[in-house]
Amino acid sequence: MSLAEPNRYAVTGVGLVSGYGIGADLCFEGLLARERAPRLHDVKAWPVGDRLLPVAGPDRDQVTSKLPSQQLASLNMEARMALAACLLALEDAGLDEASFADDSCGVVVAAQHAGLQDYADLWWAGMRADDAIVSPTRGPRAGFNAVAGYLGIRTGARGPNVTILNGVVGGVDAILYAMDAIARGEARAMLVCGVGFVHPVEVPLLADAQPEWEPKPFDVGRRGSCFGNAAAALLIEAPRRDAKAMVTAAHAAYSPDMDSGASMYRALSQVLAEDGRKRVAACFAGANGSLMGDAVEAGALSTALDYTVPVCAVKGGMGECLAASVVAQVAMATLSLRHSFLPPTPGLGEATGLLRLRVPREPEKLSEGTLLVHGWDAAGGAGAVALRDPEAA
Amino acid sequence: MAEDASIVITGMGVVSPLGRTTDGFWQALLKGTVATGQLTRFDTSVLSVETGAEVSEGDEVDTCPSLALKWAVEVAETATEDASLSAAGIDPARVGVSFGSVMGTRSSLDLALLKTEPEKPSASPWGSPSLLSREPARRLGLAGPNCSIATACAAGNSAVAYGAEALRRGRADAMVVGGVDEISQTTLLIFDSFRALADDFVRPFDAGRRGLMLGEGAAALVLEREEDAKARGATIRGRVLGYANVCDAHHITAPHPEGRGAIRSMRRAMEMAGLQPSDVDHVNAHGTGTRANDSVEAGALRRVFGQQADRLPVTALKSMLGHAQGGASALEAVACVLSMRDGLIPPTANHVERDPECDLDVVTGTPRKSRIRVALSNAFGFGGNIECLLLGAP
Repeated sequence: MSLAEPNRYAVTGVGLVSGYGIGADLCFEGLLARERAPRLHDVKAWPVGDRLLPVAGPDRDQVTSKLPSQQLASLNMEARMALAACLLALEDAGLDEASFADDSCGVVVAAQHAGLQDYADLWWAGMRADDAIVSPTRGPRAGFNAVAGYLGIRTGARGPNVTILNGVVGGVDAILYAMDAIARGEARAMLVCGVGFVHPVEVPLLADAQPEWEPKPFDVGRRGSCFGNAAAALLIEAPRRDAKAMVTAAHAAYSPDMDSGASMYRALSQVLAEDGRKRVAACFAGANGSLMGDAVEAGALSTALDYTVPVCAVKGGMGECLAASVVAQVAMATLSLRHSFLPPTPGLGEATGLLRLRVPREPEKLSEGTLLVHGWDAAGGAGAVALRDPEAA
Repeated sequence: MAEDASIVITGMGVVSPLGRTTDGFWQALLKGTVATGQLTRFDTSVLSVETGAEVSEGDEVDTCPSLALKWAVEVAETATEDASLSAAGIDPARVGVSFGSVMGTRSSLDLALLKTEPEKPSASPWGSPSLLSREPARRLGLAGPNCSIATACAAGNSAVAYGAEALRRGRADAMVVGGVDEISQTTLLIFDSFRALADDFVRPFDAGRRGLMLGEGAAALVLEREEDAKARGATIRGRVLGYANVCDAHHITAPHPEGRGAIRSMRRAMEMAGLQPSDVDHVNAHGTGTRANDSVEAGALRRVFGQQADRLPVTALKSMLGHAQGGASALEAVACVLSMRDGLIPPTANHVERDPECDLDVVTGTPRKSRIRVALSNAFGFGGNIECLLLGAP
């Protein structure tokens, strides 16, 4: 690809494993119906203690049942979820696994805490248990890059293989990495996977954030977010006519000062400039129901976008899926293009007027224009992705 | 912005078991100083291994929740000072940070589990691996692209590649890039469970090699586009010529027996740089000292360089530094730049008996004088992650 060509990349397949079940369509249908992810787990604090954390997530047995049994050995649950999402994305793109086992196919994973519980368990086994024999199969699972490594092995993709550790915004960086790899000619197809998984060892810390069982993004009565377990995957390729969506721009930004929304506004304005299209059809926001974060995001969105642009926050249904969030939002935006509908925001009762955003409470017919996906985290990271219908692009 | 813009190195910083100044680190390498030995920072009595290469930290370690985080900040500060970046008048929003790591701040979970109440093991910075790039940025006031990367023990090179790409695509005007990791009880347990650890010395490419020893540390480099660096009068210390990230897709811990990924990565890095194998003057090997890595890497180098490998000087710094995991390839990149500056290749320590399976021109004993215009730095990791880096003289 030469520099003169616009930076456009095709999303040819999407896959999602979430509290709605196994499949992106299940999530999209749930959102259209304004339903929250129906499956809530209580994750028990580790190593001891009776604290419980409500987490929206998939049924573990269901995830496992979707995978070939020979692929289960050595995989922890987050790797299983990621593999299931990636296989769904390949299937959605009409590719069999064999065609992905190639030097020109790669994997990039956005993760936050991949392998954390394995790390903690290893310490416990080695330092506290009487028998300090540590299984050699457990060690590799404790590394940040374990999920990406296993995906490379299981799919046979021998191209670029990278893990991005950028919190909630990692999905944007992962998409950018895939776009760059394709632009450099290092890959013809990249699986971009985001994984968010709550480990028992995290529970005491996360529970201190007082998660909310029923998150209400952008709602006047919002009180906090609910965590979600999810894995989302996109197959990204060079532009092609039969694409499901075209990524026209992506940008990640950072600011030490999250409260100002500076990084959010920079990411949004950069992506809008690179996309070059004046009309924004809708925005998939990163709002998760938090009092502060939603307000800062609303400020950035209302500065960057016209009030008439409808905004949807999928985390009202899926929960805060951390590093899976942006990839999942792009998957939902892709389905929005496919079905020409924007889902409403689950949990939204009354949008606070102070937010100066139009957050629909019912599904809306999608108008022509760019779809924006926006993500942010509490540590000052932000990112945005612009998508279009392939025909319009 | 030109995708083929020339990327140069204008600043460097190190924290290593051989010192925390670039000059001290370099002089110790040239002397062949072996930093591996008895670990002292934590109790090893419950482990079957008690050796490695530690960074000297004194008593301060007791109050530092994450050494990796501390070192990432330290080398970023040193590298930006070395590059005179703060005086350059570059918009801080156009200066980014990227660090690679294997375990990042996770090592501090060991301390948290050991020292805090069991119900509260999480009051520690282990929860945010993204801090490795965000904390240096916060301290230095840098708001450009910010990314923490994990490609196992290739992560330092991957961070360099990320930075070069951000510059080539016009996302930043300068990037502070590097790698970092610290030794923890848990990482020792992991490597011990593979039976991958040597009990006395690290002997890369030696017939009697018995494994690796863990090391630790960090290194950072400041990258800029050449035209920008020249315009502000910066001292150019080296060049990033090429890089290639590939995956073996073979086994989670073992390299492909034919070095398939390593061969592809080396060749692609050369293709990117528009260079031939005959243009490469020196190889800074991954060279861990394990039987599997060294024979596979030697075979891959033979495949890529053919007969040229007979006279292509190869060194393996892990013989002195131990395996600093995510910090390793960043430290080795700094060593490559210094090799090119001084025309000297540090020796591979502890190499006494040539292994026919590792038929390479391994530099041993004393530093070798050699004019080096192009250096190849190899980095391989678990998960089949491979990122080879091609560096050039100023």
